[in-house]
Amino acid sequence: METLGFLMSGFSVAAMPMNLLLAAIGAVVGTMVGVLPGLGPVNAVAMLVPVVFALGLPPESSMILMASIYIGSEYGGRISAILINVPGEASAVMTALEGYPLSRQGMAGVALSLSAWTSFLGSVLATVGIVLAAPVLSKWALAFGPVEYVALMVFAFACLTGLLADQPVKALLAAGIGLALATIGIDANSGVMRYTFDMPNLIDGLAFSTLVIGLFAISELLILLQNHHDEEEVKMERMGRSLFNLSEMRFTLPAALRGSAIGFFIGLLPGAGGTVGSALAYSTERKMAARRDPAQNRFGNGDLRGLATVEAANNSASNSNFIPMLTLGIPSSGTTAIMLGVLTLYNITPGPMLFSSQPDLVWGLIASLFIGNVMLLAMNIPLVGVFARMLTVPAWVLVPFIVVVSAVGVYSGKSAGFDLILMVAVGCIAYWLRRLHVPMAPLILGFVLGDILETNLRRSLSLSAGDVEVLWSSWIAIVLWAAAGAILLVPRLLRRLLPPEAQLAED
Amino acid sequence: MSNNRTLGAMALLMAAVLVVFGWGLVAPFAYEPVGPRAFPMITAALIGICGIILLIQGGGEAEPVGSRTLLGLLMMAATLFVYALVFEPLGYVPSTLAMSAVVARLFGATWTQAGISGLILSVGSYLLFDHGLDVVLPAGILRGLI
Repeated sequence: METLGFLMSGFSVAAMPMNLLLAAIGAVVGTMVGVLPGLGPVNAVAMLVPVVFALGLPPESSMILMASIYIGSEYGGRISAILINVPGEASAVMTALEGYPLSRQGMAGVALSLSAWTSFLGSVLATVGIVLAAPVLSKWALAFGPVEYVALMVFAFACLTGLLADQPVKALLAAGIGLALATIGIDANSGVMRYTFDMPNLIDGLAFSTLVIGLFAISELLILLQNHHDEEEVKMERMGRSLFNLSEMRFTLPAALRGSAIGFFIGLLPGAGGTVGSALAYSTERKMAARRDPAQNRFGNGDLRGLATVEAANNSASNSNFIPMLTLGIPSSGTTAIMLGVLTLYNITPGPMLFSSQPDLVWGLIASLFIGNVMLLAMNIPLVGVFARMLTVPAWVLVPFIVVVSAVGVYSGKSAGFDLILMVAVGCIAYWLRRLHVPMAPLILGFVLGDILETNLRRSLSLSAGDVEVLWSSWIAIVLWAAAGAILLVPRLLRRLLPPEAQLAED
Repeated sequence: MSNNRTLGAMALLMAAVLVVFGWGLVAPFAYEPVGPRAFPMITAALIGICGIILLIQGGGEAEPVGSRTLLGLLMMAATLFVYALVFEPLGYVPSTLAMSAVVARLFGATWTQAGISGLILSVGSYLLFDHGLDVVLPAGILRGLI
């Protein structure tokens, strides 16, 4: 009941005209960046970091804008996957598997509208899950002291490296680089300058917006150039019937519901977002169809159930990603890590206190997820053709535009040419790291959590007068340390023990 | 050239830099058992261990890019660096016009397309940001004109 009251006050925040407008802008921009292959929510949100400050937006409005871009891009990613077989962003890879064959058969319209509907279903169910689970979790998380926090963050890094990356060493390296970059600047506890190399621009540390824009926007442009093949003509399939019918909806509903549930639980784990969720939902559905319903099994040649479950899972996971972010202050994807970093720029400390100290922000954000999803569904069914036109914008228009928005954003923060040079340098290094398959999400997570991790570590050790045993002195901490170890080790052991055929089925 | 070994070597180099420049980080007055040095050393150890593993493991050759693509990438990086350097002295509009035209060329535009889109982008975004959104951008050599 208490929750319902909070949710209502959240709706009153989200329904303020400016926040409604920002949610709508976010939904449009999100869908557009989702459609464009190469540009994803991370890049868009990274470029927005300085913009929200330049516009002087209050924290809840910034969060609403960024969140609606994030969920909007999940809607957008499916459009290019279905129409041209190129996933607009990472978690739409699975969408192309069933979506593209459908559009080859002249069913593009049905595939698009059905996937918009299951995206909506997955998102809304996951948001209901946030409303039910988050307050409970945040109450439980209040029992966390510095000791538990250290263990929790180690657990988050373990999840990110063990679940997400095919090469855990590289993910760990990325996290280490992020942590090291976070130490640059003046140490708040002792006043000692760390790694500033006598440069006044580094006393405050690396500017968050400079780092994220370099890491995500500038390096992306170099990758775009690397993959750029002289202006291929984008070939789009005909739309065909534009809306799914009732029997198609009934046929795919169980699959969509299963996908939503899988996505929701996967999204709770740090590091495992829509990509893992949709892959798991797809393989589950595929196996079920092969076993129970071989007659109607069209998996691989355009099965509506496969498409429905993937989109439900993918959107559900992106929404449930907000639960660890809001309750524990542990972001589980690059995008939520940036959103968390933005909160710290507003001097809001993410963590279990967030629900009690910033109810307007938390509940306004949750309510705006509902509103944003309704807007996205309403936009995505009739306007899908307009969004698809984005695919015909040539790269030579788009790329200079991205450079300009990045540069102006970085410059507006400190009005320093130094940050522009830093942005380009970070971008070039990040491009090299990405070519070597070093993931960027652990890096940004390390940077965002670095300060908090160090503060809690030092606080724990102050409490125990330097005795490191304090770090595993409580049950919660022991469980988290053990879980972290298990996540790092179990997948490697499984890979050794399982026969190769079983591994193929996993993929 | 780019593979796990180079990555591992760079990681070790970074760890070494962290240790060399971080070893002297001691607070003049210590109020707490853990000073400002411990955490950077932990990260250096983490990075160093990853570096050693990557050096031993080897392999992981990055997919090669053609010499034309490589040249394009170098041109792009150089353009961005020059843009960052001349952004303030030259001013926003001229530097953006030049950057935009070169980048558009790299992405396959004709000179006319590159010139027109650069002109629209540089002037349009200056009016939008500087006059519309109150983001102060350097006027540079065009001071007084815009």
